[in-house]
Amino acid sequence: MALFNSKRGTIVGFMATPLFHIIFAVFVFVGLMFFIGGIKEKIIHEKRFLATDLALLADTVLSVKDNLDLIYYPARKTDKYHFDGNVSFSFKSNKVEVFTERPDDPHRGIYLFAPRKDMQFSEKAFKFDKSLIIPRFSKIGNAISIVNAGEEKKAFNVHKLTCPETKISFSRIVIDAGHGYKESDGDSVAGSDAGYVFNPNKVSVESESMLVNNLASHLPEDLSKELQFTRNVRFNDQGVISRDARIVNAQNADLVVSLHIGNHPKDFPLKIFYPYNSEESYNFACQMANSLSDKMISNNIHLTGVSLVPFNPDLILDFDEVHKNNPLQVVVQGKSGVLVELGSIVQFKALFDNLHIYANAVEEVLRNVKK
Amino acid sequence: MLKNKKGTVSEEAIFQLIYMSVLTIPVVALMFFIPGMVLDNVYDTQNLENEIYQLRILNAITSVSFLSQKQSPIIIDTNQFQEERINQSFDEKIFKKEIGFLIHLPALEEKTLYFNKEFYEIAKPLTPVRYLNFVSTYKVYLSDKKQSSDLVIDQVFNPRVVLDDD
Repeated sequence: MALFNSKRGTIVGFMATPLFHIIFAVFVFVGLMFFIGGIKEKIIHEKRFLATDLALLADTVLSVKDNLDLIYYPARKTDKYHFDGNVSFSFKSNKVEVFTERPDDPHRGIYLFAPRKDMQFSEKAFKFDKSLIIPRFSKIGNAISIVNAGEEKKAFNVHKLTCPETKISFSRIVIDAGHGYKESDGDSVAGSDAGYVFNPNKVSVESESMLVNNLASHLPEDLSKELQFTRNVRFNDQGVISRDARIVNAQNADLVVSLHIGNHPKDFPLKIFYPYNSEESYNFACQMANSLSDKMISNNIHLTGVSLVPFNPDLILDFDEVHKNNPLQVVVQGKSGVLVELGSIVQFKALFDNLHIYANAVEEVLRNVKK
Repeated sequence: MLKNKKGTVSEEAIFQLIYMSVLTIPVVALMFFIPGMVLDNVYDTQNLENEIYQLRILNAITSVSFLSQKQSPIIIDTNQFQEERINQSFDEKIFKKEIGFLIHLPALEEKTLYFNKEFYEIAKPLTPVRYLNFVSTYKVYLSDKKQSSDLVIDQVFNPRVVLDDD
């Protein structure tokens, strides 16, 4: 204390008083900050943070090119920065607002996002009495939406493709209930076996041939009458109709649709092959992919992916040793054509039990394009 | 208060006032700025927002891959390198942020696109004081020219966003 004392005591008067005031002010300030911080955590911070986070998500949804189905899980109750769920959201044309009581809450959290001209969120407000809301964003093509995941359980078809808008129609459509060949049977006549066999040790013939025949025979009779087939799908003509005969039956078709089952150990994809230089084939392949994926998703069939695979028809038409067993030999006989490879033979039961669903999807597209 | 018994301001009182001011002003300034610094740091999107906008532009000007039928992030057909595509990606009528872009292919001097050109040209010289700048460079392949190039996206924006604009 000697430092602060002169003989007249003026140093104390000069320094100690303002220092005391300042130190006191700092203590008050720190205490006030903690107090305000506590209120802020509960009132403003949470709402502004949520608004920022959701606006960034809206920006992302509006920026990605592909489809998405995104569920926004907020932090859990046990996390340090959880939100207690007593908040409502409002998505407007260019901003997200988060509020607790009224939409005009002066302490609401607001954050802007960047709207697009070619796709926009429809304005939507979620006012929840419940303890928790889970916003769910979806973008399928140019259609975007925000729903409450707690209420909207419907699966969105994220595999949906954006197809050409050109209208296509075909007069002579040939359906080929096709199949691959067993590579082990090197001597067998091409096209005369049953294709991929799921389990050769089983007595029942769980074969690709059986599945595609059944699939084609599920098409309604009135439609079937207007179509042509490379083989009789109403009975098992395995070994009777060779691939050569199927090729002949497919010749000069306006459209050939060859149905096949894939062989994938774990996945259940949909692949459609089309000649790269045929816009009509691509258009049809796209429509077929969308119809099949729509039906599969809406019936809770676990689809792991959709691909449209272009091939070079000139290479396939070179009927040499390499391509003699290629199933695409039938497809290239038509002016347009696609080869549909559906799911995986490994999941035979999933395929067999749902043949009516796949047939329904194929029927829908065929009716749409039949002249 | 600043007068002694003689009614004049003493030197001691003036020194005291200056001394108090020197100590008090920083404290008061901190009281104003610290809360803003703490809170703004929490809400700072750390350029995530800017990167999203730039990827949106990249998606708008790149082409669909022939093999996958998906948008390829690296292939650009220079015939489709058009401002219209970018204008579709942002609706400036309801977009409340002050933001402008210059999109440039250095390999092709004549190929420069703008979004909100007027704002960009005013704001660019005022960076980084009044406005901020965020620049990204991507490696792209120009499919019709059969050559690779850099793609530069230069973004100028106003960091002070008016949130409540009703």
